[in-house]
Amino acid sequence: MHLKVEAQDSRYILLVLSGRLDMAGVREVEIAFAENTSGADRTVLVDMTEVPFVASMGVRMLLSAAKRLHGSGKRVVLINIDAMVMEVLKMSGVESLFDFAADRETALSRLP
Amino acid sequence: MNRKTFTATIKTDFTALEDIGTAVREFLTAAQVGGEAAYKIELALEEMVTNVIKYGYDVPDDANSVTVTVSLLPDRIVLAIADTGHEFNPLLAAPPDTAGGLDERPIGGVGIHLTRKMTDAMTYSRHNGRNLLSITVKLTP
Repeated sequence: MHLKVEAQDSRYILLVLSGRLDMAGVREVEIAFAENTSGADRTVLVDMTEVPFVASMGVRMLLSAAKRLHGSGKRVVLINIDAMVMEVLKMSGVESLFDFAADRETALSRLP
Repeated sequence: MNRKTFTATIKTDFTALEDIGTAVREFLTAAQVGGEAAYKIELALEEMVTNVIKYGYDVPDDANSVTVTVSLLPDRIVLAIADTGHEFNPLLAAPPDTAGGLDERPIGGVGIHLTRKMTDAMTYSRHNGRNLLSITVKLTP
């Protein structure tokens, strides 16, 4: 499991996750993910193209960023999410807490 | 050889969970089970074995173990998980409150609930000091 900071400015940070967000994967990236989604109130874009699997620990990690932003008016935008991963978010009852975009360009064009 | 059953007994730690997750994925791939059904079995394995590792035993001990069996049937996959830990019936676990707003939303505690929603059937029994959990995922032709 890898996390890469692809781009950022005062409005947003773009993170690219790759690998399986199961227990093992979350343990590998959760500290870096928390560090990069804390502090500044800016939109968090997460490119999920290379994430084929998310379990509840992964939902929890993604949700932690949404919680940190809550009240700032900024959102977590999940980019190009797998259909089954979307199903997991829906079944966890948390899909309304995220925004979604088909690709990076769309996500960037919608920045507040 | 077309294997229809996978079984393994693992120690109750997260390294062992990672290894068996990989082994089950390879088994399903070899049996040409992919897509939604494979995802659901992998998810159930991850969530339910995580539960045993976290809450099944008070003291870490090499004797603690979980036995995982995956059986391929013509119309479904059955995942069986057996452990000798504390008696725990996940069917009786209270669902997390997902109706509240973001601030009230508890972090975690959704694994069992998620597994029940993503799979087709779950049964539980306790025999001779063992928890026996069986989870079914239907195969769509």
